[in-house]
Amino acid sequence: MTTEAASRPGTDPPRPPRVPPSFWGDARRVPVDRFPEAAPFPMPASVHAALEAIIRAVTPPPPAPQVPPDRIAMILRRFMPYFLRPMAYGFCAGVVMLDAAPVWRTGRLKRLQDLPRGEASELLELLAHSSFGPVQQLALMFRGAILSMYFDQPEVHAALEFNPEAWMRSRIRLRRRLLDGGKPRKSDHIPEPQWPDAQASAR
Amino acid sequence: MNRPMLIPDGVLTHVDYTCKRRYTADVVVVGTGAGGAAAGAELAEAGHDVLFVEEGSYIPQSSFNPHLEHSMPRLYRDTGTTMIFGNPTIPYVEGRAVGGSTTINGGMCWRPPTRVMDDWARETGDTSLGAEGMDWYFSRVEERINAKPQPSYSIGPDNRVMSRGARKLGWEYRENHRNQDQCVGTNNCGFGCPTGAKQSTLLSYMPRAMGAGAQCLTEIRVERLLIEGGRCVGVAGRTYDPRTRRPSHEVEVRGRAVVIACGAIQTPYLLLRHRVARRSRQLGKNLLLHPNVKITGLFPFDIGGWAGVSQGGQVREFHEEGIVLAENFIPPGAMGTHLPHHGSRAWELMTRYKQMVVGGALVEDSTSGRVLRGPFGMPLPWYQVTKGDHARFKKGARLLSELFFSVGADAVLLPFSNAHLARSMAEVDRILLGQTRRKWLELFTVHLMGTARMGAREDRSVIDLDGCIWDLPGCYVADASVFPTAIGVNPQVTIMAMATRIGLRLAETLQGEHRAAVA
Repeated sequence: MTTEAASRPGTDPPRPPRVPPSFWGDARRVPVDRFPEAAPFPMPASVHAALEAIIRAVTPPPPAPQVPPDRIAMILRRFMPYFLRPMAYGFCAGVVMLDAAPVWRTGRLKRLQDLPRGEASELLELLAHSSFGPVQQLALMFRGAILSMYFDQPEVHAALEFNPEAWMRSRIRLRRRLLDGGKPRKSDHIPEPQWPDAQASAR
Repeated sequence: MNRPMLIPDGVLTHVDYTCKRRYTADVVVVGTGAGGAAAGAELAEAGHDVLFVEEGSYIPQSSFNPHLEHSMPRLYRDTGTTMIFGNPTIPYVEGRAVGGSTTINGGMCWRPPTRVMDDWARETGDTSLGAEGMDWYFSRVEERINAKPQPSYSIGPDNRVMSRGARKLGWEYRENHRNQDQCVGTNNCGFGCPTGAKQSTLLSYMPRAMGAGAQCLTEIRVERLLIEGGRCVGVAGRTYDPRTRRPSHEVEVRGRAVVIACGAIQTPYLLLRHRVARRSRQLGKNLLLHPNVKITGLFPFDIGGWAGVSQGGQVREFHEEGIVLAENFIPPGAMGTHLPHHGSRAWELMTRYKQMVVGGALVEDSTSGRVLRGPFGMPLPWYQVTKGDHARFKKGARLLSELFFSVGADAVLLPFSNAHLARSMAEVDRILLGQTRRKWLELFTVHLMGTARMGAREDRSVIDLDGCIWDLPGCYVADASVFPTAIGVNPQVTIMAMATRIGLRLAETLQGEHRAAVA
């Protein structure tokens, strides 16, 4: 390969020392790789507040674990720069549309963010079952995006007894052992589910 | 700006493009997924100077984890918000990182059925595209990516649900061959294998290519081809600011040949700008999807699907009808996108997460869609599900429900937006009877193919049998878009085999040109 700078030659910074790429990770939530994640997509404060209201309406109420809506809103806003631009602007417009849903769906002069959580949730459920395709798609898109972030949070994982990091770390250790020439043990096999017919026959 | 850590030599990132740049090589390969990496590695090993251009970043194995929050921006195009328009709208996902979709796929390695390959041979008039003619390429790929049956210690509970159900119902169940080396079943294929067992192109073909001297320019989106004197002589694109994701410096890459391997959506999107393949008008058409429906089984006992390999096997009993059934673990975050409710009803369902098995019924297309070039950098894929396929989705949903109930499920979640929960087969049948409209189907796909089809005649295809675009010498296509028809199985090894064939033929052509020039 030959390289040529078309302008301002010699401006590249010196390269840092290399780390071997075969580095073993530990499946942690925030990888230590210096990957530059995008900054949150710019959004007016009023739209951010409306987004938080939609998040409150969509996420499960207690006894489910409560995740601050601002955290979910910020994760979504950090995702938005990766969307195609029309999609990102469309997302903002969707927030405004849903915030105004009480007006265009029920004729009440209120915003979604002014409704109590339960009422707002019911209204969104209504929209998700709308017979008008674009409205249904809009409600389902926001529901999917918000619930995917909600169910990705550590406190929710803990409540669901979903602890994949510990499992993965144990398997990463197993593979290292196998690559070092170790033999798989009986305990390395994953147990079968407790089949009901097997339980019945055992009884 | 800090350079990302753990980047091997020969991989350039955004910090390396501080001004407008121009690179030259023998061959420019756009994309590092199943097609690009396989073709590029063959070319590099044949002694050519190969330069890969990749839109995504180099994400090392150590970054892979089971959480959406930091995995989606690193690994998925548009963080997974891509969709195909039509009735119904079909979400799809594809990888955007070094390794392309092989970094995030399930790693299934199935050759297409003999009837499909023989159809290709008949349609193109080239017997070397038949099952026998392609055997050598498939064997070469399978050896390079280590396509093997799963070790027993990687088989998990959801795999056992499928195999047990199939056995009970007397259905044919076949264990998957996967591109893995001592897979230990972390079930994180969709967010990158944290153990390095999955031999995606990130760990198989790319190191092979780079060992032979190839280099990789990452974080550059190719925007256009460079065409001079009617011949393709390179590509031009832009790097982007990693904080705002807005395009910044222009980068030009020139070579004696250009191989486009951006996948079945992005390849036609790029080529449509240049109005190539005008005689056939086939560019962007023939979009094939293998759409699938997801059915979730709820069991009265714990499953814990996160332990064990993603998809240990497939139910092949209905393959001749174009239906394949398989389980597919989905982490809670991704499950959230499929839930039929929100609020407390969503929580009620998800409290049974440990007891869920998610299965998919994959249907071989009987129709095709097309990709159009939309505004603002947007490809516009379009696809309409036919009545026949609608019936097959319903059949697939019924079969998978039957399988789940046969192994003790107490309920299933069905893939219809107007009715989800069924607690018995009688209830499933009642719901299926009411499914008269296609728009109620909830579909999903990851197998996109066929938008720059290969053929022997310029008036019927986009590329010739060597992979070169008919009316644009120097420009080759080597990804899933070259498939003339749907293949009915996971396409990874078929893409690699076709790309190997195209790469080796191109290597020969370039060597011939070189010899002629020397003479």
